[in-house]
Amino acid sequence: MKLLVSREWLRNKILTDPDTEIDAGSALMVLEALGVTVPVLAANEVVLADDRVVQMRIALGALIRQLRFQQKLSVAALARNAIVAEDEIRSIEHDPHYAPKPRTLHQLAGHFHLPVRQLMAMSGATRAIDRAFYNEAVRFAARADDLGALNSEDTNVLYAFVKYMNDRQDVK
Amino acid sequence: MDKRQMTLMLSEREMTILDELAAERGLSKTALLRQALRLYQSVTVRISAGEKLFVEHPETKEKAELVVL
Amino acid sequence: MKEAIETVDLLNRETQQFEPAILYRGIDKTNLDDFDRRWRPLIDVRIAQMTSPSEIAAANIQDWHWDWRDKAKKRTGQLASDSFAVEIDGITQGLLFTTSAAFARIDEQKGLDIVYLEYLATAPWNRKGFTTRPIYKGVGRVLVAAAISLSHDLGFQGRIGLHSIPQSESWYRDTCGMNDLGVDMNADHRGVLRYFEMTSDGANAFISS
Repeated sequence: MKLLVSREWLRNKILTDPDTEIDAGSALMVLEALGVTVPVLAANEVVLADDRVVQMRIALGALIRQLRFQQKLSVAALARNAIVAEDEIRSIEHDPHYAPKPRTLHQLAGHFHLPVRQLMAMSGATRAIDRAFYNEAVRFAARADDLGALNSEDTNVLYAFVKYMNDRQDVK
Repeated sequence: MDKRQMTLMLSEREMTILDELAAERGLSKTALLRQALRLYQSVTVRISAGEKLFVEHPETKEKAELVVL
Repeated sequence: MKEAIETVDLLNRETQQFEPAILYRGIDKTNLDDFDRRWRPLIDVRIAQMTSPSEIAAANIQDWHWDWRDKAKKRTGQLASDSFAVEIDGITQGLLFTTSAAFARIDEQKGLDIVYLEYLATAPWNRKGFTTRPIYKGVGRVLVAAAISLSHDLGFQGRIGLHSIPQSESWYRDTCGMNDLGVDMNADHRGVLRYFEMTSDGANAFISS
């Protein structure tokens, strides 16, 4: 077999070709599905260490719990509405060492109108996380009251964080 | 790559079909026979491995197993 | 059997100098070892980084290893299977696996024989997706040219086809000028990968541009 292009042609083309990814093939699909083929950590991202994953999950638990209180739902009622397991909701709300299932996060995101990506980040499912988002989530968790009904200040804090999450999902 | 030569005797009918297929597929007769060999091996290997070949009707989407080799 | 086809050049992004590379048809133990010992560990690190630790990451890594091995194994001894490697100083910079047991989908060449690119990849250290300082540029250009050359050699007049990962779509559509046939809903590609095909005219345009 003869290569139908010249060495010089290749050099000229390589110089002017856009600098993009070129990989192809279904063998790469597994990697694609894992998000491994997306660009490495951006300047504003960090990889979470285990203790920081715990912090994020505490924030996730507080978020779900408070949104549930806001809607005046029991755990059983939320489980029914979002079509997820009750014990999983309890684990998410109270056990920061529990790794939520992706499907559950999708269902809860749908029910509470939250961006799935941010929930996934808070659950520790992906370890590369926006530094600013991490700080904001931890701040939210510190102010979240886990005693039950929300007063107006709690509600403001909650809504501010939810708004932040929704605004954030458009930021690359 | 080392090459070896063989002489192939074909019937009138086989030669006609070879000509027609080659023209239809834009291949030389040699290229077509080589491709036929590759495809034949490809099919044989799969069937030997226990895989099945199916054909699908373009409209009904009904599948029928290719009863084979 | 591995055969040196041509000396080509890849651009070292750091030095902005071209370095000579060899394009081989056929791969051997060197290339498989490079994949196992140089490429895969870097990919596995990324998998572990991107997913939570424990059995999830391990299962993902196992999935991807199995997938690759399984595909590589099915090719051995098949006349329809071809492979290409690009090496600099004996180190594998790019790999291409093709099959000629494939047929065109675009209307104007429907059913005609094509070279299908089963796997085309540049080494992780050359990819923006794996490092903020990727090294060699040009593997894609070399391997697409190789695929078109193979297609001509087999009598298929340059026709090629492939499934692109999302990050590579603009390369195949806009730079290589391939026809985008859209997302492939076939089981193998699970509605993720888009299928691209190059006509004979498109191939001629590519190599003579």
